[in-house]
Amino acid sequence: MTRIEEKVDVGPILADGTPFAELVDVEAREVSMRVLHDPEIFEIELDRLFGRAWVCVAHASEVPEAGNFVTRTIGADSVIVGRQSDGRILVMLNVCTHRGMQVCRADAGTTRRFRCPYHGWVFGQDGHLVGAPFENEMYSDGLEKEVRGLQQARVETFGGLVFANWSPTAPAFLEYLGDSKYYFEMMLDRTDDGLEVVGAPQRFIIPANWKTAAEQFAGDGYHAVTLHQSLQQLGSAKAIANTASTDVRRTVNQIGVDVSTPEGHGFRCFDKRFAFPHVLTDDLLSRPAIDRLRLLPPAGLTPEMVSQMERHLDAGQLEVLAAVPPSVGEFFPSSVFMSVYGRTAEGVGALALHTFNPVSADAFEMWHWTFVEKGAPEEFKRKTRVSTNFALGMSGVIEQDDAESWPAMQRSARGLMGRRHTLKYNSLLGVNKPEWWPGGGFVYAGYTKDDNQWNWWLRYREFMMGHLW
Amino acid sequence: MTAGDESAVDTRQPRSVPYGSATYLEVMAFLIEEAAILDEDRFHDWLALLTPDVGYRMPVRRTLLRRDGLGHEPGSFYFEEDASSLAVRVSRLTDTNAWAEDPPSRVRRFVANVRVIEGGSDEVEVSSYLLVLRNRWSNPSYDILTAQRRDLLRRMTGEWRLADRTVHVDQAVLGTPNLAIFL
Repeated sequence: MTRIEEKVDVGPILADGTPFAELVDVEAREVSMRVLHDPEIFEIELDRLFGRAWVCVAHASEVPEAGNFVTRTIGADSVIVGRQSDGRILVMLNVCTHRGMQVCRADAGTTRRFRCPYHGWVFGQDGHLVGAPFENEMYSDGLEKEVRGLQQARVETFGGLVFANWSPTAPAFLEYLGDSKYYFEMMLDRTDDGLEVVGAPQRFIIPANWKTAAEQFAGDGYHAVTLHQSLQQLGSAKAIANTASTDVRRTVNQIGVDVSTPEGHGFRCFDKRFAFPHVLTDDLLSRPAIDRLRLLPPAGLTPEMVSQMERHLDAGQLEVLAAVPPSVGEFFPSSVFMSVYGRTAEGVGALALHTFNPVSADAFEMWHWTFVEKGAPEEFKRKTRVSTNFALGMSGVIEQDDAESWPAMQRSARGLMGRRHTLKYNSLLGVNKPEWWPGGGFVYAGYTKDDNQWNWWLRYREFMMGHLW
Repeated sequence: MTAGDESAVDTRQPRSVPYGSATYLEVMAFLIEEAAILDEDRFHDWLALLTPDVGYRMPVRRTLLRRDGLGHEPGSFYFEEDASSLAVRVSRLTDTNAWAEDPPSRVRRFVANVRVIEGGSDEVEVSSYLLVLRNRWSNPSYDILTAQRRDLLRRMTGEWRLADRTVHVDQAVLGTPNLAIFL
């Protein structure tokens, strides 16, 4: 990319002279829609965000055996995620160090080595350069194999998810996660056998900037009332339809606790008292957390599996899961894990991971993985899978409509006046952490507002201004 | 690591139901009429074409090396439906707030290369090619999907109905933002 002029307090100066800092207006809490449309900003993101942030690329259960690999993307780069014979998972740039062809051209497979089809350079499972054809004739002075292996990313796993980072100076993953670790554990790391992915992910192109999805999943509860209104008319709301007024029906999922942490991650936690009054009746609210969890287990768990959670989570985490569980959790910048509750103890809910992979300023590729609890009975796993794809992903009755709003925002950003317009984040609840709340971070209890999403933009701004590692 | 689902590849030739036979023409007519019903947004008429025990699925497709198969993933899906989930989808789509398809896309489904693989007078296994052109908003170009469908048709009270469908899509990355349409 071209070298960008830089000033300490305003970040990159864009081609027309606009300082980047003006685009995320901290005082007004507004974001210029230019950030959705400008290819110059997209290029800066590839460098400053996707070149420095921890990016989710896979789940460990996708590569269970030594030699298994999947190919993924970080920013616009193709990477190989491969399981080694010693059990480690490595993430390597899928670019031949010789002339730049992709050495791996399948989405998945099993191999002991990657042989570039262009000139035949061969790399080991771990990316080291094994050799090249006619090595003596071509490289009589030596091939310097030790410095010509595939470029390695830093890799860490958390709750089975595999994260990669190109930056040698970025903090370790747990530090990057900060207080969000406590909440993600409730979603990913609850049972003896843990989660496993169900087959290959869905992949599809959304003609919109990746940030339209990423900022929404950081905590937008407000949109559900209108964009997902059709769901209120479906069976999902039937159970409470007879007992609650229209206003209550339309807002049950708006009331809860939003959490975000300074690292940019964010959670939406739904208050079960409002979302499931037909199950959690008032007389049950004083029962121990584990009893309430059996009445309404987290997505993917049978009531019988609930007792396992006591071995993996602390008392505070169990209480949060029993009362106001995190249902949407976003890893900054571009991955979200969802644990959507079923409506009854028999309801299986939905478990999914999305990533929003940037393609260009005007398009991103959405990936959708379905998850099950590995230790669940087979029939329950099947139901979880069916229920997840019914609600979420490309055909999901919830997310079909999200895929309508993001491209429409993008069309707006294409217009001259449209791109001068701003996204508004003026409705703030302010930190008001309840006494009993055991987790850290910025905690916003009540009717979900813009706090989480605004924090997402502040973190985005920090990355783009170049203030971070 | 799961290799591709080899069972998805069917190399059988049409046997008991020859091209041009009466049954073949009935199957052709069914598929052509079904495409028209879907293209014309007649969702409830489409539901009436399904048997009560219908299975409807669309597996994920991946790019694999030739030795690993054609990349039809046996256990992961874009759709995995039964009669009741399809009915709920229709009830949502016909509601006033299903923004994904309101205004509706203009969709044209082309059915071709129909082969009746196996069957008798009351139940037939059918393979067909499907080309879907989906047009939306003021976009002058189309979202394109192509697939091979494997259907099981059953004759019920004299009429053919769809008893099972697997849509084997040809794209590893689908070039349309959602599947708020049926294939």
